[in-house]
Amino acid sequence: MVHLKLSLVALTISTAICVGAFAGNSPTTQDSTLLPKIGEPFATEYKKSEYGVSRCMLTPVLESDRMTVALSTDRVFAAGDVFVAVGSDIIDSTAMFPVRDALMKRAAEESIQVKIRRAGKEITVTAKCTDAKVFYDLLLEAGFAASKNDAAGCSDKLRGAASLHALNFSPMHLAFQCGRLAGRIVGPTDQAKAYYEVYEQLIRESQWSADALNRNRGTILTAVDALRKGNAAFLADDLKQQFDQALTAKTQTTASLGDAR
Amino acid sequence: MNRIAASILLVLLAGCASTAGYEAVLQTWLGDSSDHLVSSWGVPQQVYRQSGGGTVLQYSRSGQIVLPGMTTYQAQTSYTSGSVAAVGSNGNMINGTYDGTATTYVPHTSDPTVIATRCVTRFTADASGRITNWSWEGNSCRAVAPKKTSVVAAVPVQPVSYKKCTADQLRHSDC
Repeated sequence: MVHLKLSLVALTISTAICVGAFAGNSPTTQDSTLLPKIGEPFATEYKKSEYGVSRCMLTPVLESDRMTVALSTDRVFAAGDVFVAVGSDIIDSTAMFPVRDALMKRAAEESIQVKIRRAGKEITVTAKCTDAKVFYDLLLEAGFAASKNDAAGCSDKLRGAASLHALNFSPMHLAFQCGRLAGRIVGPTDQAKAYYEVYEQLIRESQWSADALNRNRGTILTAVDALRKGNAAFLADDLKQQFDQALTAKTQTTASLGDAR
Repeated sequence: MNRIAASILLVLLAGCASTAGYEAVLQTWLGDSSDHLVSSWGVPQQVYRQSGGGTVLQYSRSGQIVLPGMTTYQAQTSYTSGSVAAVGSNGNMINGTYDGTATTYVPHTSDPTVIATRCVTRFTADASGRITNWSWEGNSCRAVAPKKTSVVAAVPVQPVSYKKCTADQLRHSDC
């Protein structure tokens, strides 16, 4: 049920992302509408009042379950950590945004105790918050710029956002499209690499469950195909391999849990 | 005549290679690193360091195409004439004359034609080593356009004019 809700929330943005990915193959006919299609859902989402509140944000990029760390740029958190509690607030895994809900109660510059589950053990770490509003303001302004077909403005805003916090898949995808249309990502080599990194991130964010990976199978395979057609076979093979490995790992985990039961 | 033949031959030799194809090859390097260029094209013949920290890498290649001389056959006609005398069956002397022509064809080969080829290509890289521009000159800067296509082709974006708003203005519909 929670996953269904998450899927609905992400629907508009992910739809735009799919449009964007395919539009990349026929840029001359669709480039004029590509950015507005991706940017408008961004602007709509980040206009919401909850993003305009100054509050705590931690460094990790979360997987699409909104509880598992996909990657972290600090040494406090590590990929695979699962949030258990923020201070005395137990993370409600049935909520749509469990970690965000808990962090909403914390001030922007606070240091907080976070309980995480790492390799099966629960540990408590101390983490320093940054202001979420500054970051989300930039995402909103980037989305707005994209909605007006301002690739350079969008690219600048997302660069600023990325300097504050690692981007997750959706902003990364927008950053890629704005960057290439603004002439910031040029040349087949750089474009292929940037494109690859976007979809590598999608795998990273989906690897918390086999279902999540399978939901994104079509998108990933489309990206693999695009890379192959772009003469980036090495990156295409690597992306496919990462997807297969993540799926195998998660399928084996699920199977072993089933056996244990 | 030889020049025309040479030009035709050059075109034939070039196949699908063209200056447009060469430019398409150069275009793929825009945004790439000069290190990558050097690893692919080799060490440039000349490097010029610009005052702003950028560099110009110059690749030159020259050569020559030698077209063998053309062989033509020139007709040489020789004329012969004379008189003959013979004793007839009656013992009388008979005098007569004769004349005729003979044509032979003598091969004549012209000097070989030497065509000098030259292609100078310059890449400009910015201070970070990123290739930002290219140029070429010469008569042999030709290549087959690469089949390599980018994942998504870069398309110039038209300048945008709109009222830029802050996030707070957007959230409060003040824009």
